[in-house]
Amino acid sequence: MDQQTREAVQVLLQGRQYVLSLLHTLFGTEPAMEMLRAAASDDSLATIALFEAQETPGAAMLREALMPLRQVDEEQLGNIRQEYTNLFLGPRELVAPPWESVYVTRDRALFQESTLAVRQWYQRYGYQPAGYPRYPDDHISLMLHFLALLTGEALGCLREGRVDDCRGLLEGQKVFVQNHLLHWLPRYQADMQKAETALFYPGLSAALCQIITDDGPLIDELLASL
Amino acid sequence: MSLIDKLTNSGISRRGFIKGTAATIGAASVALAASGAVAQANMLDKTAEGAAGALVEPGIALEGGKWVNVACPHNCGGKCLVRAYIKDGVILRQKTDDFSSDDDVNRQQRACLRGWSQQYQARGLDRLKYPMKRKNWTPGNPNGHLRGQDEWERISWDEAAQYIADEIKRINETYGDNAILCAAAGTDVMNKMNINYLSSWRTGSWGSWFAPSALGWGDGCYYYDCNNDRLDMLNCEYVVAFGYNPAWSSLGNATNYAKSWKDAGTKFILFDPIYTDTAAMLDAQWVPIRPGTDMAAMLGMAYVMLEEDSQENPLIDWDFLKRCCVGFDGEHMPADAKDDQNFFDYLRGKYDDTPKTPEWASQICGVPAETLRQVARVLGVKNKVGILSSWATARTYNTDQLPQLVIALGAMGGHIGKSGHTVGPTAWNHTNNFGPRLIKAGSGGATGAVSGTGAATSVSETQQWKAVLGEPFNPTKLWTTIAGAGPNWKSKIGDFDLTRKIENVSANVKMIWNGSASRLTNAEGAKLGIQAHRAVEFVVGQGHFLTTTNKYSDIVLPITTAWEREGTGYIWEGYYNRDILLIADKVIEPYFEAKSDEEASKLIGEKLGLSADMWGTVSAKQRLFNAVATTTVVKEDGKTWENLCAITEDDIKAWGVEGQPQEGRISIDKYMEDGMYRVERKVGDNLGFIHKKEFRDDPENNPIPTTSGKIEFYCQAYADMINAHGYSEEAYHGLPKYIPTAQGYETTYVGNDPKGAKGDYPLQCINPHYQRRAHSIFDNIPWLQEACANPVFLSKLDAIERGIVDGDTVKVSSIHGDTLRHAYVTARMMPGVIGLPHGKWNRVDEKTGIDHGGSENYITGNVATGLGVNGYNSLTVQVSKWDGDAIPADVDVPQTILF
Ligand code: SF4
Repeated sequence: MDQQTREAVQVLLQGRQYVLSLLHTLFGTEPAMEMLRAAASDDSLATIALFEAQETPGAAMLREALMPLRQVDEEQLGNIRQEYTNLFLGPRELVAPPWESVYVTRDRALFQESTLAVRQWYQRYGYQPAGYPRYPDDHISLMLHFLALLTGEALGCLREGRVDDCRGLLEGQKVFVQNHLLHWLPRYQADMQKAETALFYPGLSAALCQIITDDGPLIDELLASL
Repeated sequence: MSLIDKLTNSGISRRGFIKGTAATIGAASVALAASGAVAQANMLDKTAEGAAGALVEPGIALEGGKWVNVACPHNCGGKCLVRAYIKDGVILRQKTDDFSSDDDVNRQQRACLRGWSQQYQARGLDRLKYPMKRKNWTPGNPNGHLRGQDEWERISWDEAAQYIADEIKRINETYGDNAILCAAAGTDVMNKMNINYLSSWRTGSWGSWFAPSALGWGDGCYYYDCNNDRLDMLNCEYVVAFGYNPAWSSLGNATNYAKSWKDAGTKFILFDPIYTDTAAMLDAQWVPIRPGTDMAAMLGMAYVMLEEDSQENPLIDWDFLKRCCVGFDGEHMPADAKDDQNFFDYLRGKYDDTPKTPEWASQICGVPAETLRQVARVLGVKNKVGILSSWATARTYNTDQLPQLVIALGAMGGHIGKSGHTVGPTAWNHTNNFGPRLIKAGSGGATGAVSGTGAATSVSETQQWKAVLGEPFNPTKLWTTIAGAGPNWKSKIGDFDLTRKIENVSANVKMIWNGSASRLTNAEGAKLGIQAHRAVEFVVGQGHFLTTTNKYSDIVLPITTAWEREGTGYIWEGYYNRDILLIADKVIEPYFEAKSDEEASKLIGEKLGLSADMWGTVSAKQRLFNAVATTTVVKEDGKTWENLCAITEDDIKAWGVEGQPQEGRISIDKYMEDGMYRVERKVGDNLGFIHKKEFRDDPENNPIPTTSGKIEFYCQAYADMINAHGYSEEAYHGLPKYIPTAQGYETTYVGNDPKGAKGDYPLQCINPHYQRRAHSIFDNIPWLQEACANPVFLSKLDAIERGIVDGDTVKVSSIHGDTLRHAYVTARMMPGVIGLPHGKWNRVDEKTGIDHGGSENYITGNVATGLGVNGYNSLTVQVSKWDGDAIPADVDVPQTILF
């Protein structure tokens, strides 16, 4: 790997870490003005734009989803907050529960075998949810945090010249994405489209699903250039 | 072009571009990080060095977990063993008793479909996860009309506790006594705050069997020595039972034991408006009977026994009557009788010109006179008969004296105090197995808790919603005082002046704290209840799910299940089979932010200045240990007792508690591991029980706790108690006379006259307990919703008359409300009666006020009669084909999920 490629890979890893952290944040907590502003800032959109390509439309979809946030006023924030409450907090029927186990087991329940599998993935890399063991490990926001953290680690390895470790971390993520997120995100995002309002999160979910779908080719490209 | 190519080939200054991009990403990352924290629960922590490498999916090996004993702690009365296989805090498998021996006499304690679904109580998607506040509620601006339809927002425990504490203070200071209607866990804080609050009481499941102690009998719940034990029941030639359906109420051994009697040759005759699964299983003679008319049928049969009794064909046990009973004839009247009417002359029609002939009875109860004659002959003295009345028959208005009549009917045939004969209530609480316990749970010991001096003003559940809405109510404490007092009722009743009617009072209720009580599903008049909830300033609910009751609250608190609590698995022995005692302990961590009721009370108490020590200073673990250590089991002689558990110094150390080593029958480890101890029974052992045997053998020296010490066909004390309440206009007599029940058969006719035309509500409706639920619990469990669809049961005849076919959506209407269900058209239902299963959660269409959820109490009312008995099974309705959209199956209705 030449210096040029290494720098390019580093920037892409840095960018990937940002995008995953952004999604982890947006799915993981109630929206606040600062957060939405940061998400839709010039820097943020420019970072996302890095990943835009014809074959991988996820990044463009994400940018699209974030655009309306640029002029959000207090009233709109209130509406987006309500949308978050309706989609993540209830109490009306939750059209798309944000946990993997709900989609991969027949019985819509939490803390299933699949939850343990996700937990074991985290454990392999030394991670544990802050809410362990009261909160299920397979919340979408936690899973995105996992990918963001591993990407950060991969970046660190590369900077220290530990190319094999970097490769291992990327390969691990690829399998995790294939075996877990890709199993349920398509259904999750499809359910999200049934929401009563589509101010922000339904579009964001569609973008998330596409970004994760695009992720395999991206990782392959990074691996190929290491 | 690949992304890397795009970066490396960027025209102008490549290095500058990459650098610039890195700076942009850096700036975006800093801004994102500075924009606020992600919810703690959605963060991963680095807790160890990664040992990455393997790229294969971690298979979930079952090794490494363990089977633990978990509770099925509901009040169905079955009390079965449930085990869960837990690995790393996750429930991977579930099973039941697969280790005990299983033979005709000693059965495994196997769980039913509800017990098997218990895991969903613990980890259901729809568990309450965080304290929630209704969006448009603020102190002083409640927007009460939005209860049940408002938006919610998540709040912290600290905020929730502060809101609740502030409202308690404000409401108590502003409105004074009885401004807070409290139940269950809610009363705890009230008492400790020394606040006088309003609390409702119920006869609930028991109906009028709630307090038959004045009649000398156990109630079947607190006093379970009210029938012979299950092994003696093998000797019955006949069981004649009223409303007896354990196959739906309590599917475990309660059902199994009845089958064992059948297998031993007992013939069953079951009076019931439904040809039940129990009747089918027992190959019983089914006697279809109209709800609320059992007393008429019993009087008709008593008449036949009296009429047909002769030297050659004796039906009556005169020896028993003369030695052990009073009030049956003019020569044996109790000393306190206020008039000289006796039971036999009442049967003969001496006082009302109406002989209680089977023909008379038949017109009321719908049972052919010939059938009543046939069963009356079975009840004669020559047969070995068990007469069992379920509580269901007594959950009807105005049938306060039904227990008295059941006992009288049994006494006439002499079916009391002998092997193979029994008379009493059947309550699944003891798994259909009566007699004193063979294994007794110990005591957790003093906790150091302070209960406070807050006092409750009582309101009957049959008046509670009207009371909240401002109507005057009867504040009597009579019933609650004697209920559960058993043989001591006379001393408890000491201060009550039974000759004086109790004066009504009013309350100014501004807050409702439901604790975990399911008032809007399990109490009558739920539609009125919703109105009452909407009328007050503040409502608090707590529990596991957004139940119907919690839905109409302003703040709901997520509460742990028994699986998440330490030391609470040592379940009250009162519900159990006398042969066994189960034990379970904490098996998983509290779900999300759930806390126990006690922890919730402490948090609220803290805001009110109460010290946590008021809830006791002894740990739950220590209390559990104490209780186990003092649990005793009877020896083979049936008289002497020993400790159940042997405990060593090492055990005490391992538990981390204080205690003394002791001898015992099995090791404490074994008990905890098995989760159950079962006393082995043998036919003819010393552990059997024959109810009232000593009394029968020697009534003078073994009086029963009635006023006279004998069985009172005429019971003045009981009639006085009923009349002192003043709920009913007409006075009850000392004799158990037939009284047409409020909302009963007669009221299905215009002018309540069965000779005339049918009225607007021509059908009677009962609320059978249903396999899907233990009361309202389990209604939300998808497995059970799929297995048990919860339709309304309707007879073929009534369906045809209304153009209804199986599966149609129908509207069931009463004077109190309307609900929708799918029709289940069956020949197993007596024409004129429908069955709407008990315990459904509602789903009210706010536009029409019609419930789409099939909640039976949405269409019952607040009706107070007699002793204030809950008369769920007294209701008249109309059923019509629903012309709106068909309702979905319950299992297809989205769960209510609060995150
Ligand atoms: S019969 Fe009752 S105690 Fe037994 S498993 Fe069923 S619900 Fe639980």
